[in-house]
Amino acid sequence: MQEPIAGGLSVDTYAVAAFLGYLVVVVGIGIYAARFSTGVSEFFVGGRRMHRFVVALSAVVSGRSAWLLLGVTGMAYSMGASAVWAVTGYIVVELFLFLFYANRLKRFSDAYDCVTLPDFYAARFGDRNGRLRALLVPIILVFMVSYVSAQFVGGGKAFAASFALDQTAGIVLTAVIVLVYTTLGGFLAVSLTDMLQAIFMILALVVLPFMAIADRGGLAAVLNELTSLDPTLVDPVALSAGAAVGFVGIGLGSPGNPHIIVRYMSIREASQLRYAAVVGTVWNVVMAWGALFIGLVGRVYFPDVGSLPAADTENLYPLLAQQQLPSVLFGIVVASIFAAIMSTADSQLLVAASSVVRDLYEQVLHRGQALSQHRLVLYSRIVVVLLVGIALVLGLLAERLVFWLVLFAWAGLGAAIGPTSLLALFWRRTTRPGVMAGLLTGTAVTIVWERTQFLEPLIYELIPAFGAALFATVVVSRFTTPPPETDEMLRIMAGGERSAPDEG
Amino acid sequence: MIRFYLALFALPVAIIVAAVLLARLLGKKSS
Repeated sequence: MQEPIAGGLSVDTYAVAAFLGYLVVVVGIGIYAARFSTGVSEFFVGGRRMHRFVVALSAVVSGRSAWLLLGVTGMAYSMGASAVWAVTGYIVVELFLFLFYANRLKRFSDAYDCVTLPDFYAARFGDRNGRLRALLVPIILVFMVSYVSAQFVGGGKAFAASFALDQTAGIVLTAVIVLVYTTLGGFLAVSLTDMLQAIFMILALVVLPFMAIADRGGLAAVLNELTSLDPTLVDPVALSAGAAVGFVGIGLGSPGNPHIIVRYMSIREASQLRYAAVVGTVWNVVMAWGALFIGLVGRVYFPDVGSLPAADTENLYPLLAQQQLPSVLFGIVVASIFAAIMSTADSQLLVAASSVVRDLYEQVLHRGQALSQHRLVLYSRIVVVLLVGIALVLGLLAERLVFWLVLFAWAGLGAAIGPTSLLALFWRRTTRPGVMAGLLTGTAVTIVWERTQFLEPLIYELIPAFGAALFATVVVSRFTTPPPETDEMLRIMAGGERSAPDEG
Repeated sequence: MIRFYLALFALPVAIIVAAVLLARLLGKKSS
């Protein structure tokens, strides 16, 4: 029944059936959700009426690409327990975002009818000439589209490794699946599929380490074997301070990545974010620690990296699953890799499309005009198709450019949008010129730091870039004037009612 | 080995407990 395929993995009919079943459900959700996409608010942010459980899971898995399943497992495999710091940072940051950042953003978004992140900035800083929005749109668009493209390439590689498919066919297939349900169902479909994907991911990340550890004689036996291989593998502080800070600093990207932030805006009520914080954190913790244990036990099974397909630590997860799990569960593990890829790509795709339709077309080119919601949804769907096409072409023809851009995406967005959005939400002195300075500084420092030979090894570029953007925003804001309605805006963020309508 | 157990077992539990306590505390504060 089993056919060996490229890279040393093999797959059988039951695994394929489990995987196909998963794909059918995902597309079915897109078809079901299509009827609810009645306007841009519904298409891009679920009408800001999403269920708290869906938001919790969607926010968490949208931020976790295949990096968690393949990257973190590989990291724990090669460096051992020290990899714990790579997951701790973002989990703690996202807990605080749910509890303190998201509720302010949500209340403001409701009061000022914000559908996108640029909507929030424009309303918060009275961006009547559209310059702030025009600065944000290309930053979001370039990083998001290249991110989507990289996810498609990742999906293509996973298809190639799991099902003996040609990589190009895999890339196209990943793009088509994401395209179908995102175009049809918009935000609702993306969030519901995220929820399903979150369940697949957690299932795979819990079952696999448990079975693999039990099969090896229990945790004590695994730890003994790890210690005899290399004692530093069981020491969580066996890394340099710079590396530890860099790992924890990964979390600074979360408040700047719009595909995560927009989830907070979509919840039905701000008060429900506390529930979402607990559910999201539990999910984040279980998935992350599952990935860590997979890496650790994987090292015992395959002590030599040369025994992994293509000697690549990122192949540990599917290989271990294939060896340890029955076929159907292996199918679920394969599905979980696609779940991670698709749950990130679909959210990024919608954010990119919202920048074009909501920000550029509706709010800049046709500002003040009454546009048909039905027509805007149609345009949104067309833009999603076009963006998938661009991401696909980029992925197929310019893979190197895509990965070059993606290298900066998490850090670049984190450094540009993270500090400026935090200050916009919490500091009344923040001004529009200050935010524009912060956005430019964050993006520029990220790229320059990463490209400078003597700086790059010092620390993960997001940390200095985040600090520089924070500094630039504060300094420029100090010398400029905040919008006159700032006090009322901050009152609304803190839970007060809006007293007068605003044009911003 | 104690550090291993702290990082791989106590830390995740501590994060979840902190999430629950903080959420409850903020709930009480806002009601």
